[in-house]
Amino acid sequence: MIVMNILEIKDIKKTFGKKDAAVHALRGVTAEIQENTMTAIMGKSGSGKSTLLNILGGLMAADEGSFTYAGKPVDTSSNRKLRKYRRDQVGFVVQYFALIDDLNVFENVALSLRYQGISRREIKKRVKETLKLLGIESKIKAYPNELSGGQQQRVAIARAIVKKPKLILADEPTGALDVKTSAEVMDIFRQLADTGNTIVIVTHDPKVAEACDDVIVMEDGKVVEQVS
Amino acid sequence: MIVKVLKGRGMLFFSFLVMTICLSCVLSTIRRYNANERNSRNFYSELARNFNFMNMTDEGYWNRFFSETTDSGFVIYNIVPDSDYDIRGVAYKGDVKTIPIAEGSFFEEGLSEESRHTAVVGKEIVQALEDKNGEKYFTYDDQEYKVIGVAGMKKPSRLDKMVFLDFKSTLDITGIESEYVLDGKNAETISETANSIEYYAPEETVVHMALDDVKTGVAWLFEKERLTRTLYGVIFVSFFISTIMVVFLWIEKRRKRIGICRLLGTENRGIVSEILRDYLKITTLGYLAGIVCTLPLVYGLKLWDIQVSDMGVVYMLTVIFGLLALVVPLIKNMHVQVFEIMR
Ligand SMILES: Nc1ncnc2c1ncn2[C@@H]1O[C@H](COP(=O)(O)OP(=O)(O)O)[C@@H](O)[C@H]1O
Ligand SMILES: [Mg+2]
Repeated sequence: MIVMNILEIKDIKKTFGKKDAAVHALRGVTAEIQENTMTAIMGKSGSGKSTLLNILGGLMAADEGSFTYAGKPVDTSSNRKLRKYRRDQVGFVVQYFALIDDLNVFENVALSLRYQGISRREIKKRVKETLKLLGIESKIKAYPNELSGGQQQRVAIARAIVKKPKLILADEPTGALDVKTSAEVMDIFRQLADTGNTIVIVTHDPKVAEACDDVIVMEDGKVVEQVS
Repeated sequence: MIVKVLKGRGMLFFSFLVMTICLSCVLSTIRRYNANERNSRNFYSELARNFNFMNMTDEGYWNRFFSETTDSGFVIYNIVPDSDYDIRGVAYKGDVKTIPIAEGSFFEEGLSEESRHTAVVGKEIVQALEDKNGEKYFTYDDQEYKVIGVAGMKKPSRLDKMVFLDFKSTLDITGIESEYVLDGKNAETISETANSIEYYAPEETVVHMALDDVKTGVAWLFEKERLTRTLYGVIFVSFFISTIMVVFLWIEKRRKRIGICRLLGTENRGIVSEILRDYLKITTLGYLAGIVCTLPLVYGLKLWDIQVSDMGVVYMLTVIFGLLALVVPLIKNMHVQVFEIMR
């Protein structure tokens, strides 16, 4: 079987600020991420993990270097193109869930599918399916503050995957969860990886890294180790 | 639950509800205050000045004056002394708020060459008049005056018992040496017209005009009309400020949502249109609820009345003004970086 690289990253550099205040967040990152795998990005705080993830997710453009997605270079020259890539290919999951407090579970997840010309019925169907997949269909009318941390993260994952992206980028997704719920969330990711998704997880937690197929270790804006 | 409602949409809804109630009551009170003030001054403005002529030799003086003067925005009343009726002749030039008309029309601008024998009478007076071929006539000193309009407001006022005749006709009754009142749009037009009256008078004529008492310092500051106007200004400014604040807070509350939508790759157009739609929906509902609460309040407490145009003004001052106030914080928050919000 031919192993396909969904992401190929070439010499990406990113600097924040100017002159004296310049912070070199990425100093030339090169790496490959295979399709249908789980990859962990580890490293000390400030080593550039989130910056790399944000660039791969089309939230910002790199200063130098490039990356390909599914074999094609990603055009980061305009906000419009970045947004389209982000909307169609990427699902984000973040540490503190980023749910909207005054929308219920259904509305939070449905947010992903709005303004894309998808019919209400279709949205309803897909949201319900996704919640079912994650085992939280009974909470469809609940508000975020009525849910546990683990349940909130499932809602956030549902929101990320309801638009069926191939790539799921998670920044410390278990950072706000206890050991048991962390393990449950990792099981969900594994299930997603087994059904055609590629998952990149930024994490501090060695247990999380252990559950992944690949580990990229970063230090001071560079990849120092990539183990399979 | 209540706290949750008050935080997001509820805050916007209740703010606009309360602002609508307050503004409607303020407008209604202003209306009543203005009406009462004018009523108490016999429908002269605070700036009106009495005057008369001594040794006026030119009987055609007023026609000459009205055809030659370039002044505008003034009204001159000729007071017809009578114990039964409050009768005045009226002549005016330019855009000057004349008498509130309930029905029919008012006299034409300027001064006619001939007496027209026309009248505008109060509501109460008109009821006592007999119909003649569908027209009503006010009779005074054996002379009939055709009623062309009825003066009056919704609520009873002194106006209801007043009689206005065309200026030329009243000169037939009083003669040129009569008691007059000069009124106008503002202090400037009044004092300009006062000068013109003097200017066009024959040399031997003396014009006695009540002094234009120019108030200075504290007296100027506390002049009743100015004070109330300032007060209204302060009230409206505070409404503007609260609208701006409420709208600003509401957008700040949606900051996270804007960031999340951008994270999900929603187009800016989608984000903005959703915000505008939500804003209009919530604030218009608040406004409507406010109007519903206001009506029993205004009529129950007999705060004069509230008119459809007032409701339009309130809508403009709250919802539409808020929409303008929305623009700046919206643009600011649309530029927020996605990862800033995620922290
Ligand atoms: N938006 C930003 N503006 C300025 N500096 C930033 C920004 N984002 C990250 N940085 C800096 O870049 C470096 C890498 O940050 P980050 O990628 O968040 O690291 P990690 O996720 O590994 O903790 C840090 O020194 C951080 O302070
Ligand atoms: Mg980070």
